Amino acid sequence: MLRLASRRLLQAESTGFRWVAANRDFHSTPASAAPTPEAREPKDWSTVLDKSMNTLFLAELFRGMNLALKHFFDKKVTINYPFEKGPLSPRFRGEHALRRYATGEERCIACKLCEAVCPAQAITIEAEAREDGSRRTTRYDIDMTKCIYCGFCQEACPVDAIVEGPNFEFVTETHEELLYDKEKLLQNGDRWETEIAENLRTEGLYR
Amino acid sequence: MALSLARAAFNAIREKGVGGALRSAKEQGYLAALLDGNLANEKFRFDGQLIGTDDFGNEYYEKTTGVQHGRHRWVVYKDRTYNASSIPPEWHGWLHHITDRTAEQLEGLKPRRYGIEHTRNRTGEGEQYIYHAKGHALNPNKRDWKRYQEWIPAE
Repeated sequence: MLRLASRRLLQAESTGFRWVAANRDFHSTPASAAPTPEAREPKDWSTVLDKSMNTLFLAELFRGMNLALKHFFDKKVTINYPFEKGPLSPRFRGEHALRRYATGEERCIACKLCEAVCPAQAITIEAEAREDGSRRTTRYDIDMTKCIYCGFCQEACPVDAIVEGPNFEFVTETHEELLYDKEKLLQNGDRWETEIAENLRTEGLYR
Repeated sequence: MALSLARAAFNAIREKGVGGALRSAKEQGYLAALLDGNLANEKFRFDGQLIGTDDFGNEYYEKTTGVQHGRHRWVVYKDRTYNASSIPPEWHGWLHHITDRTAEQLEGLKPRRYGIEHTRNRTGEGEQYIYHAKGHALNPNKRDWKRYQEWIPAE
């Protein structure tokens, strides 16, 4: 390598450093500086035979295919999803739901803490007094396509009204279906209450 | 698996005859499983213990020994077009390994005075099956969010 570099330097000096673009090439050795016979590595017949056998019988190809075949017969570790399901945490933050008290009265008191804390600003709340004078929401919208599922809303809620349930299979075909309103959120709460209550019971010791 | 499958098939044929066995296999979805590898994986798994059945007819199985961890609970769907969202919340936690309590043990947590029946996610099946929010274009009672009064010029 050193010899080649010095040789090239000598050559460059002899041509007077005329490095124009047309003279450049991408080879490390200039074409004129072919290696001398003594610089070439010595070859015996067995090396030559080995190399040509490797090429002729596609040895590398079969080694790779062999590895693929080995893994084909390996034990599979993939979970067969719709039938078997992966483990979830009781704190899993999935689809939102508005809960009710045991009497059926909705919990949300329209304090708007979730709306304030929401980093994606996905929640919209409007409130006014109900006929009986209690403060309730007239509008509770969550844009599920804006939501980042951080769980701040359920942390902020003083009455455990808005929670993120365990459901994550709420994929929809259109965007409009993911713009949840209060009725939809209450429906979710009515539907998932059994599991939400169970998860809150398990985690109640730690929060 | 192959041995238990052969034994189950042999028993069915001895009981009902070849035609009857084929008919019942079709009714129970075993013929559909022949074309669907994922379905076959669960349909022809006879070594599980039946833990329970939900209101929709989905059956929940468990096998605790000799199974890869995390694959020891599974469901056999009643519906031919199996849909993961058709699992009701009583069984959802059990199947997802969140809890070890089955639906019978969670019965006490079920709300008494409210609550609606579980439905699967029906998006894409038709306009009548999806939920129309109050601002949805197809909602006949689409709410009017107009917050201003138009100016009517004096006559």
